[in-house]
Amino acid sequence: MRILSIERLITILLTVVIVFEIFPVISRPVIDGIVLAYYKNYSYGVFGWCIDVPIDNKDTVLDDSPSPQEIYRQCTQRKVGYKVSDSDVVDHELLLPSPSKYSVTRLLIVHPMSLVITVILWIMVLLITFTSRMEKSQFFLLMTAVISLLAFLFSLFCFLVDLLLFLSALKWPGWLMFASTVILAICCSLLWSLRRNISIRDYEALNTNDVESFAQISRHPSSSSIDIELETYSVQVTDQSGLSMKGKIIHKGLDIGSTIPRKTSQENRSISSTMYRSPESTHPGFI
Amino acid sequence: MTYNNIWRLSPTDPYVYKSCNWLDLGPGLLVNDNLDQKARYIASIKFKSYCDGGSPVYMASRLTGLSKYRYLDSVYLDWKKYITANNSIGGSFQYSIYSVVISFTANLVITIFLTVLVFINIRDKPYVKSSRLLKFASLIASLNLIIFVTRSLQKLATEHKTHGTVSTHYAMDLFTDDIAFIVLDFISTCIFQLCQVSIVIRLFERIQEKRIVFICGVCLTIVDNVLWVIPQLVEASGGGYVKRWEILPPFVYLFRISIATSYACVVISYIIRKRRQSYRSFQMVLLSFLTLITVIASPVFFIIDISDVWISELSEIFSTTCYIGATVIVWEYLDRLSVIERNDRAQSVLGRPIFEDEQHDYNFAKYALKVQKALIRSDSNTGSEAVGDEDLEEGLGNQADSMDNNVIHPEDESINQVRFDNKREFNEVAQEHLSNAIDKVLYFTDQIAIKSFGNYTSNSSSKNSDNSNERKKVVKRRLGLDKPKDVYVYELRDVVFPSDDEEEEEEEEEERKVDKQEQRNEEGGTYDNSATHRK
Repeated sequence: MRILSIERLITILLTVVIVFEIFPVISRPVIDGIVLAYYKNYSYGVFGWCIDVPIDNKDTVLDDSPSPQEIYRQCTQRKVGYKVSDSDVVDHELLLPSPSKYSVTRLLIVHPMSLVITVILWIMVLLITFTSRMEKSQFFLLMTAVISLLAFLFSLFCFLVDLLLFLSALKWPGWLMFASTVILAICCSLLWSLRRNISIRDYEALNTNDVESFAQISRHPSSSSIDIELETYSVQVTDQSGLSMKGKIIHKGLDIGSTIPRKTSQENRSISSTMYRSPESTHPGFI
Repeated sequence: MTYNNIWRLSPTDPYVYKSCNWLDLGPGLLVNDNLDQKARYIASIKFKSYCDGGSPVYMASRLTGLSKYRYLDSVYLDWKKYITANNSIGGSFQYSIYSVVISFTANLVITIFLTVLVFINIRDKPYVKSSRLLKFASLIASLNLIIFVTRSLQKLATEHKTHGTVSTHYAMDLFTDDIAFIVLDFISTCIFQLCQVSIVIRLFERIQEKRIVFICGVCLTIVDNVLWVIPQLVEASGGGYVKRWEILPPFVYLFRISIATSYACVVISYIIRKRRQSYRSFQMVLLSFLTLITVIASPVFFIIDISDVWISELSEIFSTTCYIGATVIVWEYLDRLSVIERNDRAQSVLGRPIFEDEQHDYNFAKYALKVQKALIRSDSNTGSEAVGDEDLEEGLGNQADSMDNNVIHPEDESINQVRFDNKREFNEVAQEHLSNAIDKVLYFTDQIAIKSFGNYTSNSSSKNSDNSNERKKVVKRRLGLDKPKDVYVYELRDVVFPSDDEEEEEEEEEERKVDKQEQRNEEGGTYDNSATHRK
């Protein structure tokens, strides 16, 4: 077993993405040391904004890195979207680095949404990495890949919102969103390729690699009553819908469920004949 | 000046222009042809320059220093101050009417050029519906821009005649005020986005991925366009400013940029993946480069827009052009690339790759296993013992032990058996309905969407199928089956067929050989027929 499989690589990358996405969410006023953007005396976060007022001269415009000894800070209440004036900030009104409408700041809500989706994706990838059942479930892999698309879209959206609101005043937590978007794009493509690999592996398990195991089963003393045709798997399914094949698939680890009991050829024919009368079988598409 | 903007605050000018307010010039002599005495002494003259929204406006062809009767110095000073304000409300050249007019006309020219390209260059087959949608959308976009440019020029002409001024925002207001423009823009954008979905479907080769792309793409397109058009129509139809929906236009604006960026990522990754074919000839290199530019145009315009280096709402002005470019150019690129790939496959031993989900038997096999699983579960519920499945040999051994107990007899319950006496649980019913719904969605996706939007297989017979009807006609004409009721008199002599393919300039050398072979064969047939006729 390789130490760094694709699943583990995706897990590591997603962990990094989550860490990156946490920073903007906990930015000021939640945690004082992290600032999403800084413009003149104003500092901005996802859930509010603050203003640094100098103690001596309140009208002085500070540098980008004001020393905490010389200022006192007023922050708004933690809520989604900025308002021009807030009860916690006295004598100061909101000033944005860009000419954006203040209502656009409500779009900052996508930051926590993006974080939640990424965490969901991370959990799903963890399940794929550490549980064999999920690893082999094509449906679960497909869902994970689709959610990765959603996570990418949200992450990109977050970055665009930050860019629109703060322009060049954006600080490192904002630029981490750009990095997150790029990493998520990589994860997304890796997940889709993983899904392809699993799909091919399943196909190969059905199509080619089972020849040996079918032969073993047919040689097995308890399987003497089973008539196996090895030309194609479809023949097996249609005519002797596969007890033996089933056994092999379980052995290969597909998500089939419990082992199928042994049946005679005649019984299998009866099953397969009912199978194709089923309304769901009118078209061959299955996820 | 003030005008509606998607995400920008209504701009306010930081400067105060004196000439826009009343200036007290003191006593003086007023000279004018319209006055009774031609000239009149006024004790206190007050003057106010013509302004628009508190800002000076350019008086077309009048602010020249050549005239004897020049404007006041304060007017000149204000004008100089105004043109130094380098922002969206300033009067600098990049925000002036000239830039707007250049942008509009450039838009129009590019769109019409691409529309012509679509009609003369893009074949209907094999993506019949998509290509027709693309042509329809291009036509709508061109018509829309022609109407828009005509109207904006009319409006500017009116302003010029009545006030002697030209102002940018009169033209820009048409974006939000003109219902015809909004509706046509909505239709064309929606169809272009659907065409982009079909393009992305073409980029993926596996059926399942095509399905996912189709479902996601169509959902995103519908959500995007519906959210976009509602506030626009409400505002344009005089519904007034709805504060509740204030967040919607910027949200959809960014949403569109996100989708465009995602589309760009997919196309760029495809170009990188197909770099060998993309860099094979100089034409392909140019086309790849052009494709790259067109797909990133929309995000780039967004960056330009927010950094405020050109006229405001630049991405809105170029929105239609970006969509048509990112669709038509990429389509052309994919067409050419598919020709190269077909040639490569024709020369290679392996040919076209086949994917596992193209094998319908595989799906049947999976379905069979699903049915058996259901059978076994129902059987195990009735008291049978489940057999361990960790190890094949062990499992087989266990199976041997429990074989007699687990046999399903034909007369036992089958999966299709109707059980009138058993009341089914809610979970079972819900699961069944859900799976039926999913199957139906997949069925329609396969039947309607994928087969018309993007082929299941990269069929190399597009050109052949394109000409198949024509060929049938040719063969029928040669055999005399095109006019079955007419009477022909045959004579025994060599028959030379005129070249039936003269009109088909694109016919390849190989096909000509096939035609010649057919001619030879049919000549033999004609002789036989004539011989029979003479008998």
